[in-house]
Order: sequence, then C-alpha cells, then structure tokens
Amino acid sequence: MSHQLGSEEEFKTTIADYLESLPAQFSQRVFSSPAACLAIFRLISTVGKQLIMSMLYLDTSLRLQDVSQWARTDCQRMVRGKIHQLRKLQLVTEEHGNVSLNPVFRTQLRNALTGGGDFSSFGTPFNGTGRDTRITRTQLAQYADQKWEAMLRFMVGRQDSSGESVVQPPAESVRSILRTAKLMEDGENGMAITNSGFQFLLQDTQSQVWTVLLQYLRQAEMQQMDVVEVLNFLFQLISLQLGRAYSAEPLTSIQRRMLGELRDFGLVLQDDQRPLCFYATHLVTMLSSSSSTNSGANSTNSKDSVTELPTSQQGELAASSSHGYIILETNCRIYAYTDSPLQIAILGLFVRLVSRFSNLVTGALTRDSVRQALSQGITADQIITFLTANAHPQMQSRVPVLPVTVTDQIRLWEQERNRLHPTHAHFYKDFAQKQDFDRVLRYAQDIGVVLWASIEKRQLVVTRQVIYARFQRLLLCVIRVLPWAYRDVRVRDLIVR
Amino acid sequence: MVKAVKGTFIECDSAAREVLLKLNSKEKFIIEDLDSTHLFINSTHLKRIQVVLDELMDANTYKANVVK
Amino acid sequence: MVEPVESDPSLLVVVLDVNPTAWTRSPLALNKALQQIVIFINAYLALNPENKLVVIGASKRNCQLLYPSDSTVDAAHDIQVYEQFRPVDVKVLSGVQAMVSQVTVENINSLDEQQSLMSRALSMALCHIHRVSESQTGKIWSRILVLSAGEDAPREYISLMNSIFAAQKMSVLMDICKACGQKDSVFLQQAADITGGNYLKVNATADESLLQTLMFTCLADHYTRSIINAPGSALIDFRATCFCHRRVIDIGYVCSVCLSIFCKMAPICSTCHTKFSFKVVRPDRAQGNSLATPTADMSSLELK
Repeated sequence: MSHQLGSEEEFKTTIADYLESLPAQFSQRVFSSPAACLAIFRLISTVGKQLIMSMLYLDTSLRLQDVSQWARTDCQRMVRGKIHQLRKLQLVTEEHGNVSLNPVFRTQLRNALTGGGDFSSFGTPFNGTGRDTRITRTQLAQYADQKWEAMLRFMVGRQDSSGESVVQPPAESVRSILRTAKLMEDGENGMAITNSGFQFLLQDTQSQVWTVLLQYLRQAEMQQMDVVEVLNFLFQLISLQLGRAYSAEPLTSIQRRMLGELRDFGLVLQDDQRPLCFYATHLVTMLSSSSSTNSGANSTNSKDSVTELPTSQQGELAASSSHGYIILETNCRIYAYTDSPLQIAILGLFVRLVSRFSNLVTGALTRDSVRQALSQGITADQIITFLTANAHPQMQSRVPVLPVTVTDQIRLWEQERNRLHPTHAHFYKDFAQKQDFDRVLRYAQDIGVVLWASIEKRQLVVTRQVIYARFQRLLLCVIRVLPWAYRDVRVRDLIVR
Repeated sequence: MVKAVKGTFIECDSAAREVLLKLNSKEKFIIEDLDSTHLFINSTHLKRIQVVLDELMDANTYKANVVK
Repeated sequence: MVEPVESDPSLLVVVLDVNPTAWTRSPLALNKALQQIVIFINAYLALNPENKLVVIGASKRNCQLLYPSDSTVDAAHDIQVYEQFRPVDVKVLSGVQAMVSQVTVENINSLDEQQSLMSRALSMALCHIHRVSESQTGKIWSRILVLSAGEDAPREYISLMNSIFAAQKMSVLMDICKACGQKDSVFLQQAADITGGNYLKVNATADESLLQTLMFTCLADHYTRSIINAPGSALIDFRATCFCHRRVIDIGYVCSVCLSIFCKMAPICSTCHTKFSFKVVRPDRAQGNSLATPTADMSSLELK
C-alpha cells in the first residue's frame, strides 16, 4: 500500500471514498435500508450532519446561496466544500443552483429516526427454542478476542526455541485477506509480515477492523459478489446490539456466506449446530462509535452501576482509560503491566525488552530498537500514537500524555535516517544562449517540473516524471531556432546518457 | 551544446553535503555540485552513500548503557 | 478557553414543561409535540454514538427525571427501531404520561396553574451536568434545551437567575423553545441571551414545524455553532422582578452592595442587611438634577 495506514479519521474517509466510487444505481440500492443510511450518516463530518438534519424534514429544495448563507461569513467556503463532499457521496443532489436531499436517502433516514420502513433492516431477533440461547457478553468477548488475537499473533510470528512457529495459522479466508491487503506476503517459510503489516499492528483495534472490512469489500468486488448486499449487511452488523441473538433466516445467500467468512475473524459468532442463529461481537459493534481509543484485548462491557448515567451506547464499551498498561519515563524506560504475549510481542517491535515478570515487562526505548523499527517501515508518529493510546491511566492524566523529551527524541531518530532527500531527475547544462535557457526554464516552470535552476550557471534540474518526449521536442525547437550555432548537433547527441 | 543527464537530485544539509564531497574523492559519484544544499549524483550509488552516511551517524553517536 | 473539537461528545438535557393546563391553551397538542420531540431526540442520539441525554419533566408541582430513570418499562423488542432509540423513546413517553395523569388540578382558571417549576428543573439539570462532567475523562460539552409552555413565575426570579449565571459559568448553552403561550417569557429570554443560546417562539400549527425549528436551531453542538449561524433575537426584555414583592418592574432601587432590586425604598437591604442611612434623592423631587434622572435601567444609590 503506498499510502500510510493512518488514524481512524482516515478510515472514515477511506470508506467514504469507497462509497463515492460506487456508481449511482448501486448507491440508491444501498440507501434503501434505514440501517445503512444511519451508518453512512454517522460517517460524514459534523457540519455535514447538521446540514442534512436541517434539510431532512423540508420537502422543498433550497438555493445553494441560501444554504451557504447559514454559515458565518468566514466559514462559508468550508460549508460549500462540505456540501460538495455530500454531493460526491450522492446524498445531496444539486441542479440549477438548488440543493436537495437524495429522496431515497431522505425517506430511509426519516424511517430510521421514526421506526418505519423495512422490518429487518436493524436485524431480526432469533426466536429459537431448544438449548439455552443465551450466550453472555463475556463469552462473546472472549471468543472475539481469541480469534482476533490469533490473527495478530500469526502476523507477529512467535517462534519457540526450535525455530518452529508456535502459532496456529488461522483459516484460509483470513490468510487471503492478509495477503491481498499486503499485510503479509508469501515467503519461503510460509507467510512473512510486510512493512504495512507492522504499521497495522500498531494501530488501534477499530482501525484494524476497518482495514480488514475494506479489504473484504474489495475482495468481494473482485469475486463479482453483489457489493450492495455486502455493504448492507456490513452496515446492519454495525448497528446490531451486543449480546442479542439474531436470526440468519432473512439473509440472502451472499450474506450467509459473509457470515461464515466473517466468523473466522471473530467479528460474528455462529454456532455450527444452529447455523441460523448468530451474534455480533464487540469488534464490529464498536465500529459505530467514534472513539478511537478502545484498543483490543480487554474492551468488554462495563457494568452499569446505578450511579452511572447510562450512555446511548448501552455501556458496551468500557472507558478507554482503564485499558492502558504502559508507563513511559522521561529517561525512555518503559514499564508495561501486561502478560499478554501479543502485547509483549508488539512492544518488542520497537522497545528493547530487558526483564519480564509475571505481570510486568520492563525495557527501554533505545536508539537501536527504534531505528530497527524505523527500518521496518514503522513511522515515529505511529510509535507515539501507539504509546499514547495504550498509556497507563496515571500517565493519561498528564498533559501531554508522553514526556516531551521522549517524543522529540523518537522524531529526531527518524529525521536522522532522512538526511538525504533524493529525487530521480534529469539535469540540463551548457545552454549556449541565455534566451534558450530562459525559454526552456519558463516552459518547465509552466508545467511545474522544475526541481532546481540556476540562472547564472544556466543549469536546470527537472523531475523524471515529465513527459520526456515533449520536453525533448522543445529542446530541439530551441536548438533549431539558431541553426548557425548548433549546426553540428544531431538528435542522437541529445539522448540521455 | 545542451547536455542532458539522468540521475538523482539530492537535497541535504551542508554537513551531509561535505561528507558526500569527501566520499566522492574516493568513489566518484557526483555528477554536479549544484549549491550548498543540493547535489546531483549518479543513481546507482544512492543506496551505497545512504549506508555510508548511516554508518557514520552510528559511529558518531554516544549510546547510553541500559542498566540491567 | 478550550475550543470545541469536531468529535467531542455532547450532553443534552431536555427540560420538558408538561403542565397540562398550559398545553391545553396551545394550538399544538401535547402528544403531537411529544412525537416531534422524540424524533428530535433520536436525531440527536444519531449524531454521535457517545452523545449523552437526560430528560427532565417539569409541571406545576413536581419535577421528575424521565430519562435515565430506574423505572422498568419493558418494551417488546421492536425490530424496526434502532436499538439505541427505543428505550429512550419509551421511557420518555411513559414518564410524561405518568406525570400528566398524576396532576390534580384545583383551579384550572387560576393564572398560577400555568406556571411550572422551571427553576427547580434547571437546578436538577445543572446538577446532572456537573456530575457527568466530573466523571467523564475527556471533555464533554453540555447544553440545556427548555421546552416551555407555561408562563413565567415571578416568585422564581431569583433562583432562576442564579441557575442561569451558574450555567454561564459552566459554559452550558441554554436553548429555549416557547411552544405556546402568547407572551414572551422575560426570564427565559434573558437565559438564552446570557448563556449564548437561542430563544425561539414557535407558533406551531403545522404538523412538523416544531420539529423543523428544533432541528435547524437546537441540534447543533458547540463546535457546529461556531460555524453555522443561529437566528438571533433583536430585542430582549431585560426586566427583572423586585425581591420584596416578586413583581416585574422596569424602574426600581438597587442595593449598591449586593445588587438586589427593590420596588420601594427600604432603610435596610433584606439580602445583605446594609443600612441605608442617608438622604435619598427621590425622582419626583429631583427636577433638573441630572444625577437623579431615572432612566429605563436601574439607578444606583450611594452609601456613605
């Protein structure tokens, strides 16, 4: 992947990009489910949400000028940009200077708010008899964490003393997603992790799940599955309630197949004896939350005590501050209160671990350990974000969370590796006449390819991306203009060495 | 007549440039010395000089001992 | 001053005036208004999954916390509605119903009947807000939405102004929506102005205009309000009530120590017990004396 795996905000934009890339008739079908509309509504920006809500119960269309006048004068440009974004997502249509909401989206969002419309959009509960259908939340959480960590552990690749891999490889569907997402690649001894894979490991669980889901969507597209059904089912899963059994009966065959594949990641729980009953785990229900600090292993539900105000999330996400386990001192020493082999392995990517106790691992951030991580493709920002997200609650009460000395030092170590900034380029020199040089320089500046130029020395450096043929033709023109000076130049002489 | 050369354009700080100039006296790779912060070099040598610079930084850094 | 960030969660406290006497005089029926309010609440919850909500009902005689409440109203799982909306809607609707049915009206025509316990409800709201902000790790932005149907209660002026200033200190926005009633509420207008919220008078005869007004003006959180304009009101009635008789007055006497307002001159301030032992310049005696010219604002007395 050429772009860096980034924060949760980038994922929202990535899935928004994916939705934008869908052709119009696909979008209409996606919008026909209230659950999908609600999920998409939550993905857009705050100002966009307000604009949509203001127009939701208006049956007429508004003039674009009027809408942009709703904003303060200095923010009007930003608001127009947001309207444009909504247009790209096909939520808003514009014609003759009037904007209005996409009618399908408008009806279904109203239905989502009032409870009308499609019955099974938010999931059909399972009314099964027979064995005890209650699976507790803790069981669900354990199941999900086990599967997800198995995948992560496979990526990190623990090995015991004999060099054999201790970790069980996960199912083929998981491995194929890892392969197509370029998080791992096939090597001689099975699969090996790539640079993007290292970056993936350091992200929080929400971003990781989004990456996997996006890759699944792309794979579904390649396999010619109906993307709309896949998207609708994904949005339905996001809005399911934790701990409740849902029936797989109203699902289509594609969606049932998805259930089977998503089971391998720990996103849903499906009992083999009763394939019609499934549960959504916290990994997928937490995607509806915008909090990006709910990292993996221990984010089970919190009990709603009587004194606590129940939030609209129904308390399924514990406060993020209770999961931090890393203490970082100003002398770069790290104390991590964990015994999970996965977390220790991830820490070992960029920390030099010194000692291990039953509930604690200590080590230090050294130049070598950080440079080793940097050489494997992890950036300084990712290390800092990972440490901040997993910082112990005692550290989180400080501002800033991590000591400034340490964060600055990590960035300096990264800059050390980047002392040179190379760019592949072409270098032109020995222009006989000043006018020729000026003409070429002006042309290069117009097409924006100049990297460096010196008018005194009459030398020019341009990027290699330039359409070389066109540039060379210009040079020939320059030379042809003054034939008496360059009589004996042949085209061959201009060929690049 | 106009000469055109394919290569790599390097932007760096003055200290690194001096190091590269010194290295050039042993293995020639600089095509043109542009100014105090830019050089134009032969692309094939790029990896080698990055390694040499790294080694130099390593040799000149004090490493604190982590007390066990 | 911390600036609001886009993804910060909000806390909305909805204070519903469920005084049935007041609602009977409005063109919009209470149950229709409630439906629209419930949709507005769902829209607020849909904005951000971490948004928190508190609903308080106020009537003539008591104030009750409607949501979150411990009352067990078990709704059959209605599969059409998003799981997060259903419990809220059910609790609010059943709570309001319970409150209305408990009201026993003695004299339906007395003016007193239309006045709800607004200051008590606001104090409850502010206590909840304080508790939530203390227990929350990140920053949470709070606001209060008051849906008022009844009239101002002049006897509540002092406690109301105290809650308003407390809200201003806590940077809590107060939006007031006057759903019915002919007169503007003097005190609530000042509340919206002081805290930076909006005061809206809804003449709701059309079915959905209350909802549209609420969505347009009151849904935006702190961050969005810095970008999107809100309708302002030009004229605000800044009148007050006197502390001695609880009457709304335009001109009066103000103690220079504690700024309490009186309609009649008294030798000792009843709030801070300061003695006013000096010659008072009365307005009717001060012809041509510029110092004592009464203006529309309060004039202040000097203490020797």
